[in-house]
Amino acid sequence: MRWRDFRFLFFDRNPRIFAAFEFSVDELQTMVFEFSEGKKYDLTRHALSELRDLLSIYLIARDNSLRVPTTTMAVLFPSETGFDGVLTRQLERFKAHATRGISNSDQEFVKQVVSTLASVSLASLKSRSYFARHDENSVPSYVAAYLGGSIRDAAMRRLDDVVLEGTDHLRDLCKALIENRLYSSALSQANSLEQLATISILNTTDVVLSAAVRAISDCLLHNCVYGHSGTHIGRSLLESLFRITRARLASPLGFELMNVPYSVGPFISPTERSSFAALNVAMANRIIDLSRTGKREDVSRLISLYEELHDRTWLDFAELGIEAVKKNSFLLHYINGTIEETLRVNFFLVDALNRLPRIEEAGWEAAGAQHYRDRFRDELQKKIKWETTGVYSRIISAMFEHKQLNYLQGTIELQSLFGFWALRAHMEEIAREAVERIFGACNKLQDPQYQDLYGSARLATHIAKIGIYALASDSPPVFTAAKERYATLRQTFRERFPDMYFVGDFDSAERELLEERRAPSIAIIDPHDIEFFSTVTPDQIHTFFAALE
Amino acid sequence: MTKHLVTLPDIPSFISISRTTLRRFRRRVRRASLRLLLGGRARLRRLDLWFQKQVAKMRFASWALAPSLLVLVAARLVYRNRVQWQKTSEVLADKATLSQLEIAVGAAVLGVIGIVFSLSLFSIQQAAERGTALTLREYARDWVFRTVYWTLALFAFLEMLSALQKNQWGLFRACLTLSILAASFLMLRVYFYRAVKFVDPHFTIAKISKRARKSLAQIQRLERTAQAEFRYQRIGRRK
Repeated sequence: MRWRDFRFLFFDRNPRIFAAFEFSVDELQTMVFEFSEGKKYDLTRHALSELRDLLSIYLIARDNSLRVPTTTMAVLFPSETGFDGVLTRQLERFKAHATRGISNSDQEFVKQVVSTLASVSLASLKSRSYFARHDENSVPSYVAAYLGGSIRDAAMRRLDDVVLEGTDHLRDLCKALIENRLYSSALSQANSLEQLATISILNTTDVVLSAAVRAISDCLLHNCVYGHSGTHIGRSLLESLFRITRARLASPLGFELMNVPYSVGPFISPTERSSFAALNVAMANRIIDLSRTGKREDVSRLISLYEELHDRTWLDFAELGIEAVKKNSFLLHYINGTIEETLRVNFFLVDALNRLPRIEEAGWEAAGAQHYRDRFRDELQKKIKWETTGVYSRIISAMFEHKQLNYLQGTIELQSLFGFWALRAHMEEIAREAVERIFGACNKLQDPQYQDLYGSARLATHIAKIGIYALASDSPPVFTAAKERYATLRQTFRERFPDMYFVGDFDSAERELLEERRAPSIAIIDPHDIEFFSTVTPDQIHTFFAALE
Repeated sequence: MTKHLVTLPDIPSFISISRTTLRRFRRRVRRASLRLLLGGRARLRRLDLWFQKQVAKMRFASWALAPSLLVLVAARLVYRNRVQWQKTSEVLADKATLSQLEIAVGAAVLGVIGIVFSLSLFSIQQAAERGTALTLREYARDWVFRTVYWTLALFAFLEMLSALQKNQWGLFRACLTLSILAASFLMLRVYFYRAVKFVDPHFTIAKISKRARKSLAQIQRLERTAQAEFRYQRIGRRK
């Protein structure tokens, strides 16, 4: 028999060894109960902090000998599902305190109990169960179940202060689990956070929802810094965020200008520190920095994570966008912003990878690294295609299908910006597809059922812009495609509405573009306008329109 | 043959040079004075800290040393004047003054016990109001209180016993009586501070926690012993 087994049996078969310790801890628990009844919070805080320290010491002392079964054991060996007595009893008492506090709506006391449970959970990371399994430590999961349960109960009773603090605790725990590579335990914490978000949606409390979404986004960011691909953590967290956003969109509370940043903003708003867009920016910068300094192992890890993150994100965004279109929600504006930033990062990455000097060292490792880098660049180009055409072919179609055209103009402007970026990166196919999408939208707009005849002509300018940009970037196929599509639109429009003249019509397009180019107003703040007017010349504008005649 | 001429600067450049020099000089003076000031302050601060440390050390030493010195001085005095004091104490014993003093001190110690009890009642009442039932239990269990009670009881008993001793041991009896008198004051002081501590529930919480830590440490010691035994048995089996 090994010492490890002997130690486990020694403690397991002699539970009275811990009687004195448990007696003292029980006394402290009783004091917590009595002081909390009198609302003596300084005393409860002191007693709970002592309890936290004692249980932390106990957990560390019982490292590798705690009877806490793993999930596999719970399924395969149900007879072994006993739990460590001392720990279980103390956790049950904490739960009882929390439940009592929640039923009395005593937020201060519940916060103290939750904070103690969180500290014990973090301390439990230093202790492993006797039945340890790779990538899973059942001890923190077991303790965290009590923590999550208490926070969930508080959320059900709308104790917002407790939940706000609780989400922070769950986030810290999830981050610590990711750092310790305990991925299945981290997944269960992420699930707890998602549950909190769902409860907050049901309770229509956006403040709590925002905290939960921020916590999940922070965990995602942390996973991108410390985690590894293939652990499904990143994918799972991202799916959680999409599910939450979808659920919030379906909420009767509405999802308008003021609701979005204060609910799912931490995920979807590009200006937030751990939003999807910010995450992409951080990762791309890191990938390029590490590639320059030659840290191949870290680069490979980050590239794998980046690929995992973008695996089916485009489809999630497309589905979310369609839902936003159906509801005519302001969320679509944020989705556009996030996709814009993501694509900016992707184009930057393609460009930066192209500029990086080739790895010329001899040896299979160097060759492998170069191959990996090239493959990543190709993969990125595919992703760009999916994130432009894949997403917007669906969203723009949905706009016409559901007759929700409020955000059409912004979306079409975004297509022209994607077209410019694609032309700059020599990805003509993407620019051509952008032209086709704009053409399709303008064509449909000419139908009187949409009641926006002017829009067709005004938005068609973006096809002309892509064509002019193609001329400036020396890309004849895109120029030809844009010219043909623009000419077709103009022809059709003139045939349908021969006597229609208005500001921004097909006849005044060239003049307006030239005027804007000559005297750029301070109103030019759109990135697509900046990109366009900083590249093209008046001659190129004139050449494009002359080619139409 | 070439001549190396030293040309003097013209007046404007001379003025500018002198201005720059003056500015540099002022800057240097300012920097030097600042350095001096900062250095001086730092040294003063360090000196102040050192002084405070020495005072704290001396205070601690005085607390420990003063009673010891007092006892030593008293012992020396007794030793030097033992013959004279022996006679005096025997005279006092013969006149039954010493016995009366001993009985009086014993009675006083019993009075101190009474005071201690009344203090206890006060602190128990306070603890009952502000703390929990467990605070009372901790109060009753406390080793300092127990020691004080038993020591005071022992003092009273010793005094009564001393009053019944022979007159030849007069000096010893007188010293014992005076020592007990002094120790009773000390006990009363210890008791008072302990009772005040118990009125604060934080103290009880810390006390219980300390006990729990101790029991965990005991378990760890037990574990280490078991591990050593286990290893020994394994080695024995291998042989």
